[in-house]
Amino acid sequence: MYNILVCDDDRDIVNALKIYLSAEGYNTFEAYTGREALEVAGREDIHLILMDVMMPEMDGIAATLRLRERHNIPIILLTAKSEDTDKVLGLNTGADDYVTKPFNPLELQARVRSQLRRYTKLGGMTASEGSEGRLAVGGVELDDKAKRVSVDGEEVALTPTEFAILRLLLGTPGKVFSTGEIYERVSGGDSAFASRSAVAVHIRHLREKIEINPSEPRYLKVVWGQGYKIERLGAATGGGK
Amino acid sequence: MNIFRSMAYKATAFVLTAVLGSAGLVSGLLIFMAHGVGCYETDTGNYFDTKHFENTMNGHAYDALSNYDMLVRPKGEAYTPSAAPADPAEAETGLEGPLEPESADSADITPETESEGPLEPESADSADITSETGSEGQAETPPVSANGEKTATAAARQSQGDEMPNHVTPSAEEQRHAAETSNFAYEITLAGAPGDVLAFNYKPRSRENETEFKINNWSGWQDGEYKADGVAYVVRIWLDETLPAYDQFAMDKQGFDLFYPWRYRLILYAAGALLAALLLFIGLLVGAGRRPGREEAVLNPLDRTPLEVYLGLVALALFMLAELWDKGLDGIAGNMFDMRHLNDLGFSAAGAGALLCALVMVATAFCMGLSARLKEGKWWRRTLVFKVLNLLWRGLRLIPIMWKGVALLCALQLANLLIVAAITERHSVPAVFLYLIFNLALLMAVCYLGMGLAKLKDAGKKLAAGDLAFRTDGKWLKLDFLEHAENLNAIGQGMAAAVEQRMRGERMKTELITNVSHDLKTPITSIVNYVDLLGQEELTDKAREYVEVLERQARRLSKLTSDLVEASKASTGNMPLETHSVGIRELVEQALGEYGERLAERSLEAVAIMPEDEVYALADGRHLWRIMDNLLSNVCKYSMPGTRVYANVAKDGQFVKITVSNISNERLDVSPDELTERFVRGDAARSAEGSGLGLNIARSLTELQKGVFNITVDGDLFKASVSLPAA
Repeated sequence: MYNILVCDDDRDIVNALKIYLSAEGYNTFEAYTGREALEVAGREDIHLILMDVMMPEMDGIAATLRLRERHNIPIILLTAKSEDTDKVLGLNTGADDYVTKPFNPLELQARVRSQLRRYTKLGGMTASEGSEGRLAVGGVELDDKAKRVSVDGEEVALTPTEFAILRLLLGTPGKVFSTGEIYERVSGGDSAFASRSAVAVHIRHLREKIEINPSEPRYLKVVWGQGYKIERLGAATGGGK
Repeated sequence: MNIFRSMAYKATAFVLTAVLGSAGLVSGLLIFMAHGVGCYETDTGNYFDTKHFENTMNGHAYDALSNYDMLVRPKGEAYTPSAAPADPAEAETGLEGPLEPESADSADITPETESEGPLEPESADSADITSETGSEGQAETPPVSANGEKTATAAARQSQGDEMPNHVTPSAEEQRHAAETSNFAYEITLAGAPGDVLAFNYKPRSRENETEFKINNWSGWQDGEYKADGVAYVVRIWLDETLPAYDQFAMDKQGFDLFYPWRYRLILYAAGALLAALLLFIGLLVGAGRRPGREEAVLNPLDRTPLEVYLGLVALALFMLAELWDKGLDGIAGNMFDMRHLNDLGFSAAGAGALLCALVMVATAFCMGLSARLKEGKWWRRTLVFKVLNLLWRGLRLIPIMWKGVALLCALQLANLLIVAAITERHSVPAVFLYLIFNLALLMAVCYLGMGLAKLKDAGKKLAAGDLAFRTDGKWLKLDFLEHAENLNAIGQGMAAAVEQRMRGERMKTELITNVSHDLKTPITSIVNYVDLLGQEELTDKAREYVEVLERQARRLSKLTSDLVEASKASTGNMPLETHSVGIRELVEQALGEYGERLAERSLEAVAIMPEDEVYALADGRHLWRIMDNLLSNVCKYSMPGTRVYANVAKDGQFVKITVSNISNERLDVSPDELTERFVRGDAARSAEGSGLGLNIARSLTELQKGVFNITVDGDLFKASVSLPAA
């Protein structure tokens, strides 16, 4: 049973969020300003906070900064702003994730689940660490021997081609692999590849499987006109204690 | 200061200034008179004691001599000795009578003056004079007494030089007139020959009351003699002290006798009156041209006349006053200043006062006029010279520049021709220099014109190139060039202002759209959420159908708001741009990969026609993806199922061109240009999903990356192309 604090100045949104979160079996607390959120977080044993950015009295960014002075709990920002700069600002102030309004309830539930799992179960693991044959970045783990991939601890079923592509990308996080490179390194004359252009389709499928929102990927990013890469993530973004 | 502006002050002060000023001037004149005109102090109150008297004597002597000189010896005329004996003989007849007693007369003077009753107070002075003249006389007496020697000296002179003084004898009529108009009788003799009178004005009627003088104290005179051309003259003057003739001397003496007792008081009066007048005058100058309650200078009609006319009027007034004064002095205009009338303090004093009063008035009015003109500023604008020049200048400006140029060139060529003619005809060296200087000046003028033209051309070029901040420096430009430069600057300024205003308008619009869509997002979130929650409840089939509509439309609304922000930002360029080398082939492959599923869903086959090697363009990958995203999204929405979609990448000169073409499912009844307008969609019904902003955003983003976005419609074939600068 996790305690989740929902903070938004719009009561209807708070209510809707409570309904969604209760349906998932979470215990919810509510706050309508940043100041109230600080009070509740200090009083109750909160495991995750959903926080709106634009609020009266104290906005979400300021509240996040104050919360981070004492708490390490995951904070997901709810924002009507969809600008890249706003996202960067939100993440830099200590938020773990963000969801733009209007949000998809399923996506929101998935992000909450992911953050809670990493907060409670996983340790800070990075790609370089781990035992032999195991590759990991953030919540994505790949076990080459077992041929298994899990995201935030949940196992994901991949096709062999998708697995091979992910293994290649996870091998050097941050490096951009072009379609042609991936095709040459992965196919190896494999019949699964009809053509070079199929790489992009595989990547898309892969993203749909490991990302909560494939259009805004956290791990497998598209570098337009250059190729694809696995985002190099620090331990902090990996979450956990 | 305000008091000086009032009409009351001006009127009063004007009259008072005139009265006090003229009174002061009259007093001033009288001071001169009271001091014997020369203003030399005399304690005795005796007019014959004054410096003026002495000057008068000298003046008479000088006049007599110059008169004689003029009459007798025209310049250059040789003196004929033969005529000499004849003339004196002739003169002797007239002179003989009075001449003879002369020698005795000089001895007579002293006792006579002493015996004179009315002149008794002066006796001491006259004795002084006589003693002086006596001494002079003594110097002369030896030749006079030795009569024989006189002729000898004359003969000696005659033999010495060929120029010999002539004798002049006035007619009886002339003598009578001279006696009536002057109290001074004179005669001119040669030094050492007192008996031989060369010239005289009249013979005194009697030697009574007369004092004889010999001129001594005057420049050019020495020991009572005046030397000219080696000849020494002696002038003797007799004054009848009863002053029978009313001449200037008599007038002066009368004034002196009358005002001598007031001589100090008059100074006080004159100074007081003039000082008061001066103060009032200054006040008038301050007030001139000012009206109560008016900030700017106000000119009366007279002051508005051209300065030249004004000066002419003043000069005319002064001239008339001077004429009146002269006439008054001459006694023709009713003896205005005749001192004989001073005793009854009537006409003469009043006349002089009135004239001076008028003079002061004219002068004061003149000064006030000038003051008002100066206060108005730009006084030269009210001159005829300025008006004429201004008219000419304006006329010159009206003439088209071409004719001005033609006229100038003709004039210059004519001048040049004249100079050349002067050189060839006269072999004149200055003309050669003139020619050189003239043509050098011409060269400089041409250079100047060229510079002006170059400057204007440069300015025009800058403006045409869109540099609206450029301003032509009109510092060295003149006339038409300057005007043109100013016009160019005005154009630049106007255009810059218009552009600035438009930019501001666009920015405000973007800001408004951003804010509005941001505010819309909160209610939309609630709608989306609760429609979703509603869909999870148990519903009838009909209700479920309605909820689905709500869901679809809510999603569309959400997309519309975010697209709106993007469209407005893209069209105003209000978004970050990071251009770098982008692999177009890679990008198109990636984009087609992203859309693989959706294309397949619509049974669309994607065909990519691309060069073997990667082509690179200078672009922002994310913006380019957004363009492809919009294009492919449109393709999925509007393509006829079961057809092929072509993605073509080709290098086209300096550009890399991406073309996406598909077969439209519906008839396209909108022109390609309209399709990229906001909210315009291929289907008029607007039933399908989409905001109608996709192509607009794509075009704006392409243009933001300095590319060209183009749409062609050929029947049902829809073709969108994006050309980006090759890297």
